[in-house]
Parts: sequence; C-alpha cells; structure tokens
Amino acid sequence: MAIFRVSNAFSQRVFLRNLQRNRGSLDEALARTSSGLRVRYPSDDPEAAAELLRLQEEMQQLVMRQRGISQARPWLQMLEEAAGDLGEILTSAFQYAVQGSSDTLDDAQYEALAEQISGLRSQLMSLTKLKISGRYIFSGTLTDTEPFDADGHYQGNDRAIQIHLDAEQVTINVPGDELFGEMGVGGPMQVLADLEEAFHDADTERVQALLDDLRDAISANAAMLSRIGNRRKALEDADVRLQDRQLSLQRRVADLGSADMAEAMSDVQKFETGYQATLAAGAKLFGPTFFDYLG
Amino acid sequence: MTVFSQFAIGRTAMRAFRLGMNLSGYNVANANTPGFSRRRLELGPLPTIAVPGGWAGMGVDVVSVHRVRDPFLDFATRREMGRLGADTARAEILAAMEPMFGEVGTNELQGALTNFFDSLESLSVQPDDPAVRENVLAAGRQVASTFHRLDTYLVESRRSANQQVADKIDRVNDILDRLSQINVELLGLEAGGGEASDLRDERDRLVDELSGLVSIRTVEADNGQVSVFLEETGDTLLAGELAHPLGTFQDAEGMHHVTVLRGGEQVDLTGRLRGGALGGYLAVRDEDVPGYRERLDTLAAELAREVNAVHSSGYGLDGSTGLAFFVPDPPGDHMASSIQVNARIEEDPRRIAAADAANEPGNNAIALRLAALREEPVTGLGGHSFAGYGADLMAAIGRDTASADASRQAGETIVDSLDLKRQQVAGVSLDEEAADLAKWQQSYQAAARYMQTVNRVTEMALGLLAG
Repeated sequence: MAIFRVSNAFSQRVFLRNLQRNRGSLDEALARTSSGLRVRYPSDDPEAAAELLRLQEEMQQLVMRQRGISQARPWLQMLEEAAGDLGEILTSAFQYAVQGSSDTLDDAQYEALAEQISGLRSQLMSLTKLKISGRYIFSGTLTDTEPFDADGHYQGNDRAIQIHLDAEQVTINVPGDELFGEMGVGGPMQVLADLEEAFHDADTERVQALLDDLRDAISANAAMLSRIGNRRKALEDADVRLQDRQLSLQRRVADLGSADMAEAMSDVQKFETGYQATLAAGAKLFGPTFFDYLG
Repeated sequence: MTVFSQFAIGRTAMRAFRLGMNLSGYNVANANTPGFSRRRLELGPLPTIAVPGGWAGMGVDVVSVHRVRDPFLDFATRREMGRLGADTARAEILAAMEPMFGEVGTNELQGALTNFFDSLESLSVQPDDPAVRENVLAAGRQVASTFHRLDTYLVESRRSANQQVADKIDRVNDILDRLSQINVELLGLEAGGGEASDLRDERDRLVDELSGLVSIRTVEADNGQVSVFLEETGDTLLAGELAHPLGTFQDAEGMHHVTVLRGGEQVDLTGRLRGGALGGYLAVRDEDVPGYRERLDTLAAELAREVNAVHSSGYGLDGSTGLAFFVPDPPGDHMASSIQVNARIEEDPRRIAAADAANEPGNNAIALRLAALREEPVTGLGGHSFAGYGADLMAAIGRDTASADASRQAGETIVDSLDLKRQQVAGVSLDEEAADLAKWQQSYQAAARYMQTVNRVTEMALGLLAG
C-alpha cells in the first residue's frame, strides 16, 4: 500500500488491532496446547467437527456392543457348561445302562442302578434351574418362570433371546426342552426316567432298547454343544473385530480432533514472538514526534 | 505607498500566521477525535494597488479554512461498513450461541441421544431389570430436556437479536433526526460563505455510523445538504430537512418489523434489509436461527415418530401395549420444545415395551429394534441417522459461525485499509503539525520583525521631522 501521509490516531489503531490479533492467535495456540484439542467448537473446523461427532457416536456404539458381548458371555459360558454337564450325565447313564443290559444282575443291583439314575435325574433337574442375575436361562423369554414343573413338563417358551453383535445378532439362550427334552415328549429327561423305571422293573430288554435312545441323546447333546461353541466363537470374533475397529476409530479421532503438539508448541513460540515484536513496535510508536525537537 | 499600508501588510501577515498557528493547535488538539478531518488554511495575496512604476501588494488574505477530505473514499468506506456491520452482527449472535451447544467432545445433543440409545441397548440385554428400565426412563427424560434446553438457547438468541433490531431502528431514527437538523443548520451557517467544518465533520461521522447500521446510498447536494436512501429498496430516509424515519411494529411472536412510509402506507421491509448491523440482526433472527430451530424440531419429531412406532408395537412387563414412548403422539409442530416422555411410562417404567409378546419378561425383541434405530437411516431426516443429523446440525451452526466470523475479519481488514487511506488524507499527523507550527512561528517572527523595521523607519522619519 502506498502511504502518503501517516496520522497518529491511525497508527495507534493499526497498532492496537495488530496487537489484538497477535494476542488472539497466541491465546488460541495456548488453548490448543493446554487442551490438546485442535477442534474444540464446531466453528474451529466444521467439517472435521461433523466427522468427529459421527466418529464419537460410532465409538460409543462399539463400547455398547462390547458391553453387550461381555454380558452375553456368561450366558453362553453357562450354556456350554450345562450342556457339558448334561453330556457327562448322559454318558454315566449310558455306562449304567450298559451294565444293566446283561442278565447277570440281581434285583438289589438293579435297585442300586435305579438309585444312581435317580441321582443323575436330580442333577439334571438342578441344571435346568440355572439362573443368571435372577433370570432362568432355560425358559426362553419367560425368564421369571421355572423351566420345568415338578413332573418335568416344560413351562417356558421356545423364543430366542438375542443381542446385537457387529452386523448380525447372536442368540444367547437355548429353550430348556431343546436341551433337556420333556417328560411325555422325549429327550434326555424322558430317557433317564424310562431308564430308572426299567431298572426298577429289572427289565433288561427295555434297558437294551434304551441304549439306542441314550446314544441319540448323547449325539444330540454333542451337536448342541458345538452349536453353542459356534455362538461363543462368533461372540469372541466380534469382540476382536470391535476392538480393532475401536482402535482405528480412536486413531481417526486423534488425527482429526487432537492438536499436533509439536505444531501447537511452535505456534505458541511463533505468536509469542510476534506479540512481543508488536509490543516493542508499539513502544516506538508512542516515542518522540517532531514536537520534541522544536526548541 | 503609505506608512499605513506598510503597517497593513505586516498586520495581515501576522493575523494570517497567528491563524495558522491556531489551526495547527486545533488540529493537534483533535488528533484523537473520531471523525475529525484536519483543517487547512488557504492563503492568497491581497489585491495589488498601483504605485508609481508598477504594482504593490497589500498583504495576505485568508482565502479559506477548510476540511481535507476525499468523497470517493467516504463512499467506498461506507459501502464496506454496511457489509461489515451485517457480518459483525451475525457473527456476534452466532458466536454467543455456539458454545451453548457444548464442545465437540461434550456435545449436549449428541450426549443425550447416545445415552438414550445406550440405555435401550442395555434394556435389550436385561429386559426385566428394574434398574435398567429406570435408566431408559431417565435417558428419555434427558433427551426431552436437552431438546427443550437447546430450543431455549435458540429462542434466546433470537430474542437478543430482536432486541438489537429494536435498538438499531431507534439509533437509525436518532441519526436521521440529527442529520435533518444538520441539513438545516448547515444552510444557515454557510449562507455567508465559508465552510462549517465542525458541522460537516459531525454530519460525516453520523453518516459513517448510519452506514454501519443499514445499507445506504448518500447524495450530497451543492449546498452541502445530504440525502440518504436505502440501498436495498431505494426508499428515501432523508431528503434535505425532511427525515423519513423507519417505522416498526411487533408481530405475534414479539419480533420487531421494519417499515417505511411509501405512498402514505407503511411497507414492511423486514425480509429485504440485509445490510448493516440492522440487516445482520434481521438475517440471524429470521433466517439462521429459525433454520436451526426447524432442524431441531425435525430431529425431535422424527425421533419421537420412529421410537413410538416400534415402542407402541411392543409389550411392557405389566402387559401394557400400544403406548407411545414420547408424547405428543403424533409429534406436533414445535416438537423440540414440547417433547416429553409419556406420563403413563413415567408412572411405571415396567410399561417400557421391550418384548414383542405379553408376559415374557426375558423377551427383548422390541428393545433390540429400538436400539437398532440408532444406526438406521431415517427417511424424514433425509436418510441420515439421528446422531448423523444432529452432527450435521452442529456442524451447520459451526460452519455459519466460522464463515460469519471469517467475513467479519475480512470486512474489518477492508474497512481498515480504506480507513487508512481516508486517514492518510484527513487524519492529523503530529509531525506535520509540528512542522507547520514551526513554519507559522518563523513566518510570524519574520512578520513581526518587518513591523519592527517599518516602525523604526517611521520613527526615524518622524525624528528627522522633529530634528
């Protein structure tokens, strides 16, 4: 700009405005350094702010998913243990059935076997009553109802309880009648009851016939175990995926929203130097005029 | 050449130089007076008279004392001041509003929405847990109160812009009133010739201020009277001694409207004035903030609509069904200010519908669908998710705030550089005044010495006579 005349009032105004601008830049750089944030208010960088808000929401979703996973984990663990225990019950019952299928046993021995099966049946019944935080896990969605009544009839429903994983959902329960069968319908519960009855009756033929049913129940249980295992795997896989995504999101949030500390610090230096220089120049501005030299 | 005319030459010179010194003093005294234009003394020789053998001068004449000013720079500066006034007003309101919505990391709206959907997600994991249900209820209340609060911030911003509109209208009318007086006074003072510099300075200062308030065009007549027109509509605000003040009335919302008298009728110009601080406040009051409010209302309405659609299809623990989660249902016009959690649910959180069948406490099918709304694109929000729409709204406010502030800063730079040019012409330079003062002083001394010499010569002549 070509300058023809310089008036004092204007020099002061220019000086003050420059001083304020430098001071503003310095404060802004200081705020960036102390908060560690590049984008504090949306107006600092509107596009980055919109992206940051979206990323924050996405991160929060991941956190909730992970919380869901950690709450679903005990369900699947308990299902797995229960199915495993049931498998052991069935295997023991099978061994007793093999013992009892020979004709060489006397009545007392059959009674003793019946006693064993009765014990296994009550173990099974106690498995059906497993709870997590007060909720029956084998009643379908009727979580406040005992899965089986005293006669072994299923009182729950066949509804699945699901939670969100990544994109898909995972079922965290197994209706009790699917795992344990039901009296009058079939499955482990019925087979064990029949076996106990056959031992009471010392009915070798029936015991032999039940061996097949027990084999079926054992293989059905093994299939169920692997299904539950697959669900657990899906859960853990999702957990790992979520953690990976969370890491990459955190990195993007940091890239977008965090101040580059080295840059922020050097900005502070730069603007402070500018501020000092302006101050020094200002001191000159209010120095002598020609008036001081008039005799 | 008589003795008396010799004295007269000295007298005119001493008077002129003393006046020069006075003016330097006056300029120095007003070096910091806003709107002051430096004064200049224009001198010319007095008419010469015939003397034997030629012409002799009679002394020096004060031709004029006038302001130094460049009308083109005034025009350019004022046009930019109108824009700057508008940008500054907008930036001021927006910059005060933005922080109320919170920092990016702790954004209120997003925080409330996130919290709400988190609680629904927890509900889907533990649909029969009373504590989780209390959380859903609390999060729902937080969503409603956040919408209310943000809406209140927006209403308050509008109200403060509205107050400024009223103040600026008053100020514009005050200035017009004073300018019309000045137009009258100017004619009187300058009738005998000569410039009423102080009055003209005051007038120019007022026109400067006026041009920061509304976009105006000014015309200065030969007699020095200034006329003022509205830039946007061409309406006359001041013609000679006649001011046409802006009219105003309040609408049902209490918003001040700006009118002018045109053909005997008050014409509403509220939607057309966008220049100057008045226009800036009108723009932020009638365009920016209502735009945000509308988007906030849309978000609240769509959230209520979507959540209610799913929720009312579900069943509470007590077997209740068909309940809307948010009321009013269907959503009303100003949903952001009216959204509430349904009182029936407030009474008993067991009525929160997590199940898609009655009497199944572990059934979480509806809770899952409610939680899934979080990510779903919503047609009424242009295919955005709730959080995405909220983020866009925040970004829009940020963007408008940033751009208003950027225009304000750019405008300041332009006005500054124009003003610098203006000050280069009209401003007082102390160095220059000191030099002038020295010049007048020396000239005065020389004139005095001349008088002394004339006096001595005269005395000598008288002495000869006496001798």
